[in-house]
Amino acid sequence: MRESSLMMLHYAAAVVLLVTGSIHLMKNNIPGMEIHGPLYLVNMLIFVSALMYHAMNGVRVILIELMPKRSRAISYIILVLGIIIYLYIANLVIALVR
Amino acid sequence: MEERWILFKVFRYNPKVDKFPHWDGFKVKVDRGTTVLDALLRIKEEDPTLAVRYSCRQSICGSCGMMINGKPRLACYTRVLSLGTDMVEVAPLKNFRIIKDLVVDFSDFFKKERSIYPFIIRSDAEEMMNPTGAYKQTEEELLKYLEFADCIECGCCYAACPTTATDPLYLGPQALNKAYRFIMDNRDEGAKLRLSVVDSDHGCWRCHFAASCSNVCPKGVDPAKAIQFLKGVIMREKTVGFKKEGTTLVSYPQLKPVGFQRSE
Amino acid sequence: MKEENRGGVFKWFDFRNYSLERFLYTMHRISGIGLVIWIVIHTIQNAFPRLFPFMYGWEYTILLLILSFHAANGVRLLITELGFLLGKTYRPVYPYKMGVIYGTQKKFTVVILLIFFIIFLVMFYYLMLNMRVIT
Repeated sequence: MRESSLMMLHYAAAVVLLVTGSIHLMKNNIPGMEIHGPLYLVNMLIFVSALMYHAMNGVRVILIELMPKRSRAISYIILVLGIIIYLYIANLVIALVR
Repeated sequence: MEERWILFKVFRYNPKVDKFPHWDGFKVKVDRGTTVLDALLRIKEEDPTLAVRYSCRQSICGSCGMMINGKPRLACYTRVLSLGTDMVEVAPLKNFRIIKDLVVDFSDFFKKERSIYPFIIRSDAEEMMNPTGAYKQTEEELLKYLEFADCIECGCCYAACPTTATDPLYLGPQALNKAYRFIMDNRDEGAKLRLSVVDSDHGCWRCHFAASCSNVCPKGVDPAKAIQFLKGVIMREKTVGFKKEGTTLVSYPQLKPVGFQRSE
Repeated sequence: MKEENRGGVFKWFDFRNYSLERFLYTMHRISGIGLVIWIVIHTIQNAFPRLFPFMYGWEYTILLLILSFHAANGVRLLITELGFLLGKTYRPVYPYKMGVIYGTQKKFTVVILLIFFIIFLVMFYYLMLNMRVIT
């Protein structure tokens, strides 16, 4: 994919993180916030997807600047690692929020 | 006139002979108007083996860029007493390969500049080969890119950027600034070609807006602004499409000279 | 090789001679790496709740600082890297005003730093509430 598509997704993920992250923080820290049910589960799943993409792309950018000759290998390794870790965390979220 | 003795710590390294670089100290008497280049030439009278690049001595050629007290500046443009220290450290420009002492190798820098096609590209090849007229441009269209055209290619921005410090394949703020200058020029029709070079793994997306390039530019060119505008153009091209107004050709017989005009 | 003369990774953290934006770039990198480490810790904490019980403590202050800074500076980068609020182009006339670090972008940066401070204070208030320091 072109670099500008990856960065556009990075910015979109950042905006999504601001919204869903605020809901997650508000539910857990403000005493008296009542958010239950499937809506919160959906919120957490979207949050975790955006967070994984944003964090993995950030790490990829830093690694490419440090090792510029191996940018392809870095991109593929980050993709595979990202999918594996995302599946694990999504499983954990579904188990906990249920 | 007030005169002072200032100690100059000059970086000396000859890769063909030396194993490691070393610093040489020279005491030079300076006054209010002495520039670092004047002091270096006086040092050269004492030690003729010092290698220094300089040409115009009036900050228009871009030859004398070097790290003066840790910041990339032009030697002919920096007055010694304005630095405010008793010891001035002079080192070659960072992120370039050293040829000898204060002279560095610009070939990589110019190769990156050439890769973004730094010239006007138009589709009418016959007009380019045998021109019959001139292209009209209004003041607003000129102001869109004029600031970025003042670049003297001194390399100070390339030395200040934190991304070039680790990434030798990054295009650098000078090449990206030039790419934006040609994309925004409405006489040019080659925007797609340049955007595909700039929108790559080591192109404009490796810039993170640290704005050190604009901080050190001696001609007020502002490459940081050009790169952020360039990212905006790329995003606009992906979503709503990027359209530019063209120019009209005015043939030579129609261009009447109007004599000397004063600009208000 | 000294001949290569590149700054290296140390230049990412050397903001001494430059403007505020270089400092914010360094802090954004450090806070990003810090948040990645926090994700790992938070996942392990939630996966093994009996081994690592969740308790509010003073170390969460650092997390709140890092989070609110990365979010606020991220909003600033989002807006300026799309080409907005950067200032106009003009004919450069000596003495040069050092470009984008002077003008509209600088005022926007000050507003963003105020927003960072306000968000940190709001989150800190709820942390104090949950730690029972204030009621």
